[in-house]
Amino acid sequence: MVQLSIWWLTVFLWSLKSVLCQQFQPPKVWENVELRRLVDVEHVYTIESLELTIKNVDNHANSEYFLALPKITFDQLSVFSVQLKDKQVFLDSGFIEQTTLLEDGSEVAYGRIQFPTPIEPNEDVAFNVNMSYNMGGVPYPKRIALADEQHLLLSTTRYPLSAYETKQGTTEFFGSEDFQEFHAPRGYELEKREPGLVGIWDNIRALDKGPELQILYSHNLPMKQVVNLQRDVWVSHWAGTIQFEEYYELLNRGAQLSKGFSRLEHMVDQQNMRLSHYCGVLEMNLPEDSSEHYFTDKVGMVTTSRIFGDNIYLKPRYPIFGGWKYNFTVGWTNPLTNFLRVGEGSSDSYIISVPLLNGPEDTVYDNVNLSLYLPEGAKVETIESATPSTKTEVTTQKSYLDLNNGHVKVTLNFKNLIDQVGTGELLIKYTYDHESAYKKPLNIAVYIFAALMGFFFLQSINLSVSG
Amino acid sequence: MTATGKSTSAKNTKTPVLTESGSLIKWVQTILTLGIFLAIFGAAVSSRLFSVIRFESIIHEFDPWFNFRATKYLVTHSFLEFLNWFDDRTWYPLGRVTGGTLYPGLMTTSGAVWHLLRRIGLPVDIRNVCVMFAPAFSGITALATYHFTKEIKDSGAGLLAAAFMAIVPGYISRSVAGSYDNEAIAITLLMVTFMFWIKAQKTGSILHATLTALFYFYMVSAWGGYVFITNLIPLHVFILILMGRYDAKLYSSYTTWYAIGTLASMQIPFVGFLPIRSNDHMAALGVFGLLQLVAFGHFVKTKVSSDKFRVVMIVSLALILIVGVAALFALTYFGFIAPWTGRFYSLWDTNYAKIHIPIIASVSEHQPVAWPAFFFDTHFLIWLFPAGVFLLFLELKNEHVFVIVYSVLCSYFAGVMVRLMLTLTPVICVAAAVALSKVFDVYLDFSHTMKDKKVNVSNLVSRLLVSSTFIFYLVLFVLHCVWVNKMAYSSPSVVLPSTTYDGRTILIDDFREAYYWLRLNTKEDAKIASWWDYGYQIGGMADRTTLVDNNTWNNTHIALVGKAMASPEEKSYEILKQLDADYVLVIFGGLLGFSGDDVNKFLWMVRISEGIWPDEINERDYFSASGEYRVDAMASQTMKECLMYKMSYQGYPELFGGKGIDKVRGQTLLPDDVLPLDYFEEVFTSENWLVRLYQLKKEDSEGRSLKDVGDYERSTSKLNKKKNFKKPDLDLRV
Repeated sequence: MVQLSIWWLTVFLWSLKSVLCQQFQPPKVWENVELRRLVDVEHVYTIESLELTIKNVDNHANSEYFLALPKITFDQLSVFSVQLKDKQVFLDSGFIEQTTLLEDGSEVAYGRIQFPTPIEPNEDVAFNVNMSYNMGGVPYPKRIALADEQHLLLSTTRYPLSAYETKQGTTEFFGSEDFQEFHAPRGYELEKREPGLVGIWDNIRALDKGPELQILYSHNLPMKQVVNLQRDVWVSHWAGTIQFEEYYELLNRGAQLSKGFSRLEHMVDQQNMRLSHYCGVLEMNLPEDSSEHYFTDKVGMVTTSRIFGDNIYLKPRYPIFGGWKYNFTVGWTNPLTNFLRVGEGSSDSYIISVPLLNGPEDTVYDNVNLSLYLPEGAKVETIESATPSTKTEVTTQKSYLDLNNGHVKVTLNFKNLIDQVGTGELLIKYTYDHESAYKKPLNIAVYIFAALMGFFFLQSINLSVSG
Repeated sequence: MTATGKSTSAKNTKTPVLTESGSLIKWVQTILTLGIFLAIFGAAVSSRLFSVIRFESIIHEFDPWFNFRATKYLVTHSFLEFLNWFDDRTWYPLGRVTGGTLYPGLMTTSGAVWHLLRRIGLPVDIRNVCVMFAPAFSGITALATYHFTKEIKDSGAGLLAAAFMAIVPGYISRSVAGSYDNEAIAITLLMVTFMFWIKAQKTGSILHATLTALFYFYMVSAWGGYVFITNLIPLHVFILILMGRYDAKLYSSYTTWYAIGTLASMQIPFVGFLPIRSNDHMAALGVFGLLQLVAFGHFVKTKVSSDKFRVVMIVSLALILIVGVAALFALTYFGFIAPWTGRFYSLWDTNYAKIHIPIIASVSEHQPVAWPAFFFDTHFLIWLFPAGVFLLFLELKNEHVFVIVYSVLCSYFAGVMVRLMLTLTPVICVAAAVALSKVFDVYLDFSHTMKDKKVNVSNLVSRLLVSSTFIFYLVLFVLHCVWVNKMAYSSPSVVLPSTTYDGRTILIDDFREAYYWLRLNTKEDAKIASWWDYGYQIGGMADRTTLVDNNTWNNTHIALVGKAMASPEEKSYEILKQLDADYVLVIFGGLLGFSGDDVNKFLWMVRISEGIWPDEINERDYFSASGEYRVDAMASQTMKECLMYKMSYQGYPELFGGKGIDKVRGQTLLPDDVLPLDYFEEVFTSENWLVRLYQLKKEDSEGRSLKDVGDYERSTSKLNKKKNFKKPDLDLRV
């Protein structure tokens, strides 16, 4: 009997523990006066902005607001920023680890927004949240014919999700020419209004999602997803150059072809000269003054690339239809002076800044591995990245004529990037003195000298056999 | 650069004057020689780089792709794993004992180079090592040719021969950058082995004979053509014995070479016990035995009177000949010695292969050579060559006999098979260099014209005339070589150069387009059925399993694929299903005018499969009623129904709005000529229709035959089918 009661107690405590851990409930100190959720589906990723006006309904001042996000969205988040309305002030924001498990089995994660000054009771404050995530509509139907138009199906919450009660909530979709709601429940339909679909609701309870919302919209563009990007940047002080080499593993996650690819149909379709759901050309914007471009893949050079100004147009070996993959490498060289400046104080100290990405537009990146190779003997001091990296490490890598430790390699890993964060920069401060700069050529000279001397001595051995 | 190299070398052949300034002259000579060698090396390498500059650093043609793939395997695995490599990605479902059926010399050498470069801080990509392999070794070949010719005549002739060897098109044809084939290293080893052999038989030095044997071993590990050395050296010795030139030097050098060389060559897994079992190697063994007898005879000769010795000799020679030949026949009959291979027979009877082994005859490089090719490949060396051989006849030292034997044998072989032109080229260079240097020895020596402070005008003019004529020929030769190398031998054949209507050069890259599509967009274990020509490329570039490839070790398996291509699709589908194939790849050149496509090779597929299944496949059925090979409306029903035809032309007439012009065969097809394809589905066609890929359809879920499904679909869609296609724009590139 005692044993049984202990057992029951343990089970109770265990469930309590998991409830306590899982079920995070933000204190009910706020109320959303207005919450507008604007969803832009123009790209392969989703851009979402929330315009909030909130009121403190507590009886003392508060400065912490919890922003609810579906966990699946939270896991694919690539950009997240909070800004006071009408003011160019970014608010301090972060994420908390706790989540809430809803009745339908889905999880809600939270962002924490910190106001610079506490908000007094009954006082309003308006702010905007901008975020993008590596998620969006999925092709519907999954398989289409070559000449068909591609449609995507986006499943999301009907009401704007919030941890607090909302007086007036709006959900709005735009970014496509043709929207329609899929299996709309009666009484909850969104209405068509330029530029897209809008739904307005009053008095939404906290964490109420409303009936599931599915939106079908046309998106007749390739859905470029870079599964892996290996971006190598080689810094050479001797040559005064910075070399970029990028290896892409590209996938079009759009609708697949309903039957095999027919070149005949494709040639007929190409005559229409319209945008389509396959990827025929990739356009990349390179830093200014780039030279020595190359475009290769695992079977050699691809000759179909053109350079116009700072843009390079890559035509893959074959048009990339839905579900097709294409791996390629693209590289170019820039003068180092555009990226490097001498640090303050000593002349041996340098600051280098490189953009995070130079890839094609309208693209998502699942995994990005950015490696910056500094000259042999450089010492890294600080590393700063515009977008937080999941992992940062400093190692060495041997390259041509690295006879000592090898190039200093700074590696940063990112997840779920989108092309729009590419303009953000990676800043690295390092020192590289003259001694290490001259050490390398000296080393090479010594080795060559030793080899020649060795050859000379071997030559002087008499191997003649004739007596 | 080369022109100066050669003319300098000619002036440099004067014997040094032994005065006080002798040491100075020697110094100048050394510097000049070194400079000439550097120039030759530079010329050898740079004239092979056209393909890299005009195209890219890429592996060429077909066989090199296998060698490249094997090299990659070697550098990613251990050496023992490489030797035990069982490749389950070729010859599906049989697989290939690759480690035991290849000559590892090429791969191990480039693997060693790769490791060495990494050691000294140059982590070069293995592909670049493989691409630059042949040019680098051609420089060494030139060096070996120099030393070889130096032994034949003198260093002046040596320098000429080295310069010829460096740029002669006959050798460049198989050693341009990217031509990563066994021949790339084999010719180098051939010349090094011969060079040491000449030194060995001249001096009788065991060291040189051992070096000959070691390089022979290296050669065995690198190329099947080592049999040429195995027979040439014994033949040389045999002829010397017949000429009565036997001496102890010959004995020690040959026996050392044979003993060490044979034992060493047996260490190569692919060769194994061949040196004592195959007829190709029996001559070497026979001469080895003969040499023992001759040595014994010499010993006896010193002990007995010459009259008695003659009797003894005649009797014993007859006896040995009878016993030897009888033993050879008996051993062959009882199967202890393997009979000669088909390739060997085809060397003597040019029609042998055509009748008995179509697969050997189907290879273009096994065709007899066209006479203009000799001039094309060697230019003016070809007429200097007999002159050189004649000059050697006049002197006829032991080593000259070697060159003569070599040139006679190889001239014959080169006439039989195109690819053996390669082994003839070195001896052409050597003999021509001997002839030319003899001319220069006489006519570039102006010391007599200035005798007694009086200029002998007629003498001077004749000398100037002759020497300037030959220098003019040399310049022409260089121009010809550069032109041939650029135009004929520098195309990777994976990429085809072409010009657009507005004059721009573009590259037609359809092969890689399709292979890369296969690599990235099919399952990793997908099996590709194609004619064997493309097996190595699919393995190397598409990284997919193939049914047959260029190794051609199993004729039946190839015939089975040929049968699938030549049968109506129901039958092909069955065969390919049994072979577990997923995709079928055909090459179609009709749109581009690429004549090396599968429709042109198709008759070989028919012939090869007819050889195995004469009841089912009959070559005659594929010709039109009037006996022509046609693909248009006049094509025979068998032709129109076979898989190869359907796959090649599927959808092609519609591309031109109903009148498809096949640019290779110059015939016009109508949509009704091309029967529908029910068992296969087009999954990819490259930009210029060069490569077409089809997938085997899944069997119908309702149990109908796929033909019934196709018929049903056609009957339902016939009503709303649009007949008139728009003609697409045929300017295909951006």
